Amino acid sequence: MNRSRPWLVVVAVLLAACAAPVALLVWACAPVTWRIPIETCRLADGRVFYGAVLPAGAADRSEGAVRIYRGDDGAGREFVSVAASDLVGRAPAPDAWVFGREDGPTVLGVPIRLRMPGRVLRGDDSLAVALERIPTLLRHDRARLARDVRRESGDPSRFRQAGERWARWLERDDSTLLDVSDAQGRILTIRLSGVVRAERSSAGRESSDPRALVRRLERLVLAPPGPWGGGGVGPAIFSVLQLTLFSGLVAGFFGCASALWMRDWSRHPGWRRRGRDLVAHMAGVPGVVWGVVGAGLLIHGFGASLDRILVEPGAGVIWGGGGLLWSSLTLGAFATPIVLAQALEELDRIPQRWIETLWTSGATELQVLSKVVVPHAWRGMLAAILSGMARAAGETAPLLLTGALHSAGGLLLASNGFLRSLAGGYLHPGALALDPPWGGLDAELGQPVVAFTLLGLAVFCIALDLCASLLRRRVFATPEVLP
Amino acid sequence: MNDSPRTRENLDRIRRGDSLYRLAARFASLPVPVMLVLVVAHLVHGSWGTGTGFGLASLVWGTLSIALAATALAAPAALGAALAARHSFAAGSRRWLDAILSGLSALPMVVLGFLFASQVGPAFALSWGTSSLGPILAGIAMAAGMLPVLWKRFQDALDEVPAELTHGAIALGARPGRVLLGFELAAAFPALLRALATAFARACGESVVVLMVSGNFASSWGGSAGAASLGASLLVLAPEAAPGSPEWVDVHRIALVLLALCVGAHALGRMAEEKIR
Repeated sequence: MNRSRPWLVVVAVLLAACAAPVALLVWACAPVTWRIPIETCRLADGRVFYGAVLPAGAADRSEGAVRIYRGDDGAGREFVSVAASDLVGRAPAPDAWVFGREDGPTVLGVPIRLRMPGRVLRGDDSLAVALERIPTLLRHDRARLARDVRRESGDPSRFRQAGERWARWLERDDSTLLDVSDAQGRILTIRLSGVVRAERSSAGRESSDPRALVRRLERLVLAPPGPWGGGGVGPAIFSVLQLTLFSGLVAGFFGCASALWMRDWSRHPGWRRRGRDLVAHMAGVPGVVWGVVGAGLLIHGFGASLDRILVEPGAGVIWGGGGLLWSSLTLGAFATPIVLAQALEELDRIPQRWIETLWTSGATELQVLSKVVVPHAWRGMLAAILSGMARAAGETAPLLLTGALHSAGGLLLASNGFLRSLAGGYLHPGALALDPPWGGLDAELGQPVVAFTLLGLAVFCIALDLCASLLRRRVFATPEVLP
Repeated sequence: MNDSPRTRENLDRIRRGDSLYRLAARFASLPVPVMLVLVVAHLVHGSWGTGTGFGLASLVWGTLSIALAATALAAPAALGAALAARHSFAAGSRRWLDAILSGLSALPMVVLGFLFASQVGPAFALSWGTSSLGPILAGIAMAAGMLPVLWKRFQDALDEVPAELTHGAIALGARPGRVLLGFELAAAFPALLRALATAFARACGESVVVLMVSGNFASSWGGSAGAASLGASLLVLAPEAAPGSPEWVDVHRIALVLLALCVGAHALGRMAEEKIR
């Protein structure tokens, strides 16, 4: 039949429809790379302050209320709600910065000067460079010195030396201060080591510097917890990698071993068909059912028993509260039939006459396995494992029942480290999307972060499956030649 | 035959290795049937009790209606796409298309749930001036997720039709429409049916999309309760259920029904395929 243009158009349109979710996700997460537009807001009662009007475009309405983010003014209020008609003036404030602090409320203002021992920095560019680097260095020094003091507590002389270093640092820290001017020209002084986030307004100067974009993405992934959409999403992404790896190991081992066994020992046609039907049915069991079984058997059954045996009374619930281990095993069980079904298909591609030739030559099972089966099926079996991992990585439902959380240890998004303990709750993008930890207007700032995390998850799943497909393409191209 | 001691030793070593491998493979494959037994045993054991008299019928109806709507939306588009790809792509290009479709099939459903809940849903609500579109949106979201899966499966099913059959029909003077309906689709029908049943079973088991898009609330949709599904209810009820409580029993009953539904749909597809073949 002739290849015609209308068919191609149909394929192109439907392929675009299939890829549309990915494009939409990219669009939804684009705001994470933008900076926040700070404006000088003038109210009818005479108040003037720096702020960001949220949601975007709300102030274009002539009626109703608008909320202006102006950081935390010390009384615990991050937003100022006013009637739209009361917002009488708005002007971009390109020189204003957002200063997120660990030791006080967020401050919006224009940095005037940076006072350090024996030195004062002024000027836009030198201040910008200093604000990018110095706070992190100071906090790094502080953490190192605090560690030293703790470590040397057993040796009085070394403890004294560490204490002196700590005192010198504190003295220097007390005199490393940043003066910030608010919209009314008042000067507020903040300690530089307490600044966890220093970001210039996007108003009037869009960033075209790729390094700035990289820094912003880095902060998005690695930032410590804080306001405006929480901290970095790195731990959530990393837990996906851990889960996928563990579940791939479980599913790969049991799936491939079962496939080899089923191929060799289920030679009776009836049993063979029934066995394969059973595998296909198991591969169709929904993830949420595996989740219920995982929660019941592993967490409330096995985990609770482990707690009774291993954990001292009064130490609380450790293994019986869900966690990466139980989630990985549940996902591994979910992916095993998928790997098994695909591995069986790959093993079936090996021509039976090759194996029969080896048998007639007196080869043993192990020799058949090592000389024919593994050399010709390893790529296909690896592809099966990768496919199983892709399916497991994309599952959210079983994880929600076995320990996935949207926040951990009272921290939003960011946790105390990447390598989470195998027991206890862990952060996961699916949990973040299903039950966002933000409320009200914060949700608007948090949504691009969720989209960014989900984009990472989607790209990871698609890449795993594409790798599997590429491996299979090589399998198809294998010439029918005995080794 | 008189084997030398060295040959006998070698043979013994090979036999020992062989039995070891056989034993290892048998043991390694044991967890798979054990897993199945555990799943069914746990669900059956857990669902044994008084429960709270949860209305399963509405959940089953909600699950089936959303899955049916999604399949009905995705299947024609997927079939059209598979046919179009068959008639417009060379074998080499189709392999690439297969790889792309396979990759897109791996897109997590939670992504679609998020997009429909946060982007598409509000846009629909603004355009149509109503916010009770949950069941319809859940169906559309699931259909969007099923499209690449079904397309790939339909393409595989159509690829099973021998090219000689099509070429023979054309050589005998059959018109394109006749070739398509009378030969290609007819020959691929059993495999298409099975692909459809498998996709339907997978749609029945989707939970996150329904929960995110429709909130798992039963609502009026075509005069019946609609958007509360078995999977979404499990996600809502299971974290709250304490072991041994009536809610725990309900959770296990729901999971058992969902398992039966998915495996049943799967099995029906396979049986229908074999019967028609």
